[in-house]
Amino acid sequence: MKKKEFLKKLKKGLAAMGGYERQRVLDYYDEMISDRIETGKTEEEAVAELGSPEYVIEKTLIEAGIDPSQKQAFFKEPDGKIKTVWLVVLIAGAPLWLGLACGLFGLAVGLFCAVIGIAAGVISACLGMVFGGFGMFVYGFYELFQSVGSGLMCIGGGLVAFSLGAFLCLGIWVLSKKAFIKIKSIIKSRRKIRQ
Amino acid sequence: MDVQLKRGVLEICVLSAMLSEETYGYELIKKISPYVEISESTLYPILRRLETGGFVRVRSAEHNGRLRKYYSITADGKKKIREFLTDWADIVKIYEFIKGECNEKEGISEKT
Repeated sequence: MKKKEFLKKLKKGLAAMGGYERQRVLDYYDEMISDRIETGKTEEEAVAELGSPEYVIEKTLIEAGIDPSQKQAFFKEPDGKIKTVWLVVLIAGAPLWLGLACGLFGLAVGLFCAVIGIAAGVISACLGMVFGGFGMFVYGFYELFQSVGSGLMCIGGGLVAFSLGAFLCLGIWVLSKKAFIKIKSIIKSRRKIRQ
Repeated sequence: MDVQLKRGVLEICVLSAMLSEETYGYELIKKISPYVEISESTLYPILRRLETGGFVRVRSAEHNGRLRKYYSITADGKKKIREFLTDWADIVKIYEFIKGECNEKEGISEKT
């Protein structure tokens, strides 16, 4: 048997192993065969000295803690394709899991909109206080000519509303700038870790 | 030889074969074979266990246009060998006792 065929059989027989571990096994035997060839043996001799692929597969699976009779991953055929049984289950169950998925998605969208709505409301209220307060402040001067008392109240109230609104707006602006910078740095550090 | 016994001993054997220098897989087989039977399929899980346990360090290097893995022993690996030798010094004492008892009393002796 040639090396390529041996490794192919190994790969198939170890389908139940995780891809990373399986590749390590394949690299190991590839190296062993190549090293033996380097000492002067033929490819067929080198492969034969390792034992039959079935023997190597069984031993490797046992050592990896996998039941050798469970030769493929549960839902896959030997050639790696998904078993028809599992495909049928997936399709038949679509109304259930698709429905659930849509429901969850709708919930997420709803929550997101609610957050946006609340944020918009708060900002509008603050802006309203700013402009309304300013308007009232100005109106107050006009009102002074009608009635000093109510005029003064308008000026005073307008000032309070204006300054309170302005203060809140400034606070929101500073906080959102900080949040934005924090989010940016989190994304940047995640990118760095990925690299 | 008892399978479990052989397994434990083989691990230390493999570690010892790396003491003097960094080695690669096939060289380990050649070094150990004169002393105990070891096949590639036996060696692989041993190397894997030693590596995940931190007793062995692995690096890949180019050799004749392909990648080869080179294994070297770590400080923990050397410690493991020392522990084995200490444990086995005790076992040898017990062995001598058992042998002594058998030869004297029951006339049991090792299979020759």
